[in-house]
Amino acid sequence: MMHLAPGDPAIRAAGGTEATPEAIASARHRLGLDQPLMLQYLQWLSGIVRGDLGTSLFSSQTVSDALMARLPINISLTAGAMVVAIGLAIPAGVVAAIRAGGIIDRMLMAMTTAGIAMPSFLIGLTGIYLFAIVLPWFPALGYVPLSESLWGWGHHLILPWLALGFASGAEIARHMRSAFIDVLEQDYIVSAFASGLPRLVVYAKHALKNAAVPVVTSIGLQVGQLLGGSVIVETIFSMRGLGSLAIRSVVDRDFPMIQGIALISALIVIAVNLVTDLSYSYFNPKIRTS
Amino acid sequence: MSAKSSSTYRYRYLPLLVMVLMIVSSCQAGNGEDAPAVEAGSDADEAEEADETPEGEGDSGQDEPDELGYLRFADLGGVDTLDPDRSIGGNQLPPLLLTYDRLIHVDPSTGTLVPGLAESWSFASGDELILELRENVQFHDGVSFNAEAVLANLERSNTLEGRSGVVEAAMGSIGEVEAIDELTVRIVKDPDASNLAWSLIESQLGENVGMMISPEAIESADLDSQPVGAGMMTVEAFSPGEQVDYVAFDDYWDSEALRLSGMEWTFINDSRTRFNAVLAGEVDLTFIEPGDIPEAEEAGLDIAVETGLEVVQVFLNHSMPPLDDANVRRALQVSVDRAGIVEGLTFGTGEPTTQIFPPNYEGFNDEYGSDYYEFDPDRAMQLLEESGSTDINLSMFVINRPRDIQLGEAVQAGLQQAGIDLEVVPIEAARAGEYLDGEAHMILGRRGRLDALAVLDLSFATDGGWNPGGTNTEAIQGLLAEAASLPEGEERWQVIRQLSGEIAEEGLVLPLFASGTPWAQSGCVDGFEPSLVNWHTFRGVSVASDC
Repeated sequence: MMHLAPGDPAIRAAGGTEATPEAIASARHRLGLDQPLMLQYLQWLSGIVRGDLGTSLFSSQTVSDALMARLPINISLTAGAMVVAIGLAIPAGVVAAIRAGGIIDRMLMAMTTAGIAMPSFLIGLTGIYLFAIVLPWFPALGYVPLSESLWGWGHHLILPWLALGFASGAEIARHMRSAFIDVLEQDYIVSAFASGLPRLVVYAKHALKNAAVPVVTSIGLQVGQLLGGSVIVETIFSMRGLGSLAIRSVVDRDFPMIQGIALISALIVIAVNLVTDLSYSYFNPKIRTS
Repeated sequence: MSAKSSSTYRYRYLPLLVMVLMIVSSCQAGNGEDAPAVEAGSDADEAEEADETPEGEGDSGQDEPDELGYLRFADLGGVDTLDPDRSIGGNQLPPLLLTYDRLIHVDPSTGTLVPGLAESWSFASGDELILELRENVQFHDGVSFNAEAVLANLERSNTLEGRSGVVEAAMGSIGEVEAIDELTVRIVKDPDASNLAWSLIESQLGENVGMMISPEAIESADLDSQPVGAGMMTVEAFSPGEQVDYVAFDDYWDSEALRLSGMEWTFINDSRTRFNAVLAGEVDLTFIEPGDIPEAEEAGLDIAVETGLEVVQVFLNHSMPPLDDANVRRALQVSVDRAGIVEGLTFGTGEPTTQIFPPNYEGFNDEYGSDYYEFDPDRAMQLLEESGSTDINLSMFVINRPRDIQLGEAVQAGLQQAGIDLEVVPIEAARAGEYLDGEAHMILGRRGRLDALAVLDLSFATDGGWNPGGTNTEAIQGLLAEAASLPEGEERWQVIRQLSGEIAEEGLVLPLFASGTPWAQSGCVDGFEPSLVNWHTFRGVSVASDC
């Protein structure tokens, strides 16, 4: 698809718009872009089989190195954002479901609507202004690898986690609420209450696990999206994740890099979906036995 | 209580503790907490003093600080390779200047060529350039710099597969290269090269091909990411397109220039993120959007607005009808409200001009001034009537970024008043070359190079790389040839000024304004003067070590 889009990476590789037609042709040949598209694709596929994702058209950096350098950032972002999201969403969804139709439910649902409607970049920019500029508690940008410093890692990620976590949390909370309401209407829950079990036990032990399946599906989708790149949050916090690499590669028409990102993103989505599907059998043993 | 629940009980406050510690550590963190500082007065002071300070952004006579500070600079763009022969030049080149010293330097504040690794140079005849090289210069790997190193470098520039277009163009004018003695090199013009191409040789030795790589590292496959030059800093870490980390090279020959312990050169393309970074004290120096100046001043940042050589202009494909008609081109010139654009879109930081050179440049023609074409839509319509052109529909490429699109729309609005229908087509930068294929009548861009002839050659020579159709007037063609035949000096400048006036007369491009760049810094940076062409070498720049 990218080959069909306008724009010629050979021009940039040859020196930009000031390059001579001969230099552009030479660069096109050197990069292998003058070969038939199908041949280029087959060469890429044969590289994949050998674990070689190719090299950037504009630097000597291999696609694998570029992806491996960025993946930890997206994993860190996603893991923390999900902790924030789940930490907010599960209690909020459960409380809203228990108090369905009441004032607390309406307030919580209004907050989740705002959370979904409010773009993560707005939360991020507000966070930067309040907690990095006005109150210089957290860094405004950058990333410190976990291997370098645990504190630096967490310190740099708190604001991005909050920016991403609120929106995801709002969506998960709504799923949690509706699933929990459904479960509370089931006969076995009514029986549990009737048998005199404490409410907390009924909610935590009998209702929560059974309400988890749609919530886990929602979490899986969120994780897949965030791991594949959260471009805007990466941009405003100047984090060099997969999203910003994807944008740059598309703008530059760096075909091997784009293909590598597409491949890794697809693998991530497949892996997350697999884990999500497997988790269903834990939350609902009927799925396993069927 | 079971063992499991006991363990859970014991660690129940752990998450809270982690949060508290993070907040405490964030409160303790100061600016530049990771910035290394080294003692001054090491080997750098022992390096041989140069006969003259070749290039400096700051006052080299300032008091010696006790400790050298660390500079964090946020730039736009992103560098893909640190190999000077593969670098495509332009905004990809500046990060290389710190680690690769060049044969000829450029004074960033005046744009004049000054000695670098070549202490002096002269034209023995019109076709021979003699370089006298500097003594006692070492590459980062300890190898000595000499004439053989220059020969090895030029040979690499000439033969490297995958060299960039700018290197190929520069080497096209170089024929034989010879070492006369250990510190003297003779470069002979290629017999097939034009005078115009050869006239650029001095400035080209201040760019890619003038960057000297250690001869021992020259065959290294890692020069893309691990440069070995003779510049004032070595590269400690490089992440393509993202960041370059440097540390000072203690054996650098010009100890006066080196006043930093190291530097972080990071690329942040989002202007708001760059601004937030300097507001939060996480970078020391960056440039900001003109609209952010009031907020920056309110926050106590030091702001300096510098008008460089860059002129924002609309390039016209004057081989395409109706732009092959001079009256139509002149109609465009008077349709644009340059002062309004400067006031409205650059918040007054630019300077309107109707010439291809900014008013502060030697090549600017005072007779034509900055307002040769006054904004006058009625005059535009009159010119169109005279040319017999009606129903004019034009297309203009603009790079897909907010500021350029706004500029494109401002030009579009002006032309509309004169009855010209302009379609603004946002494109990604990778598609800019389509303008050369005649896919649009015009393209909005910026141009500003130290060498006036290079600018003129590119856009106006019949074989110029940015002259689609290769058309030109005889007068301009003659003046270009005349300028190329003259040695560097006032006589050549006179011809260049004539050229600037003639180009304005013919309306071959649509200049809008000389671009002003607002620089913001935390107040810790001393000695920084914006470069005329945004080629910052940070020579003589220091950062207070307690910042």
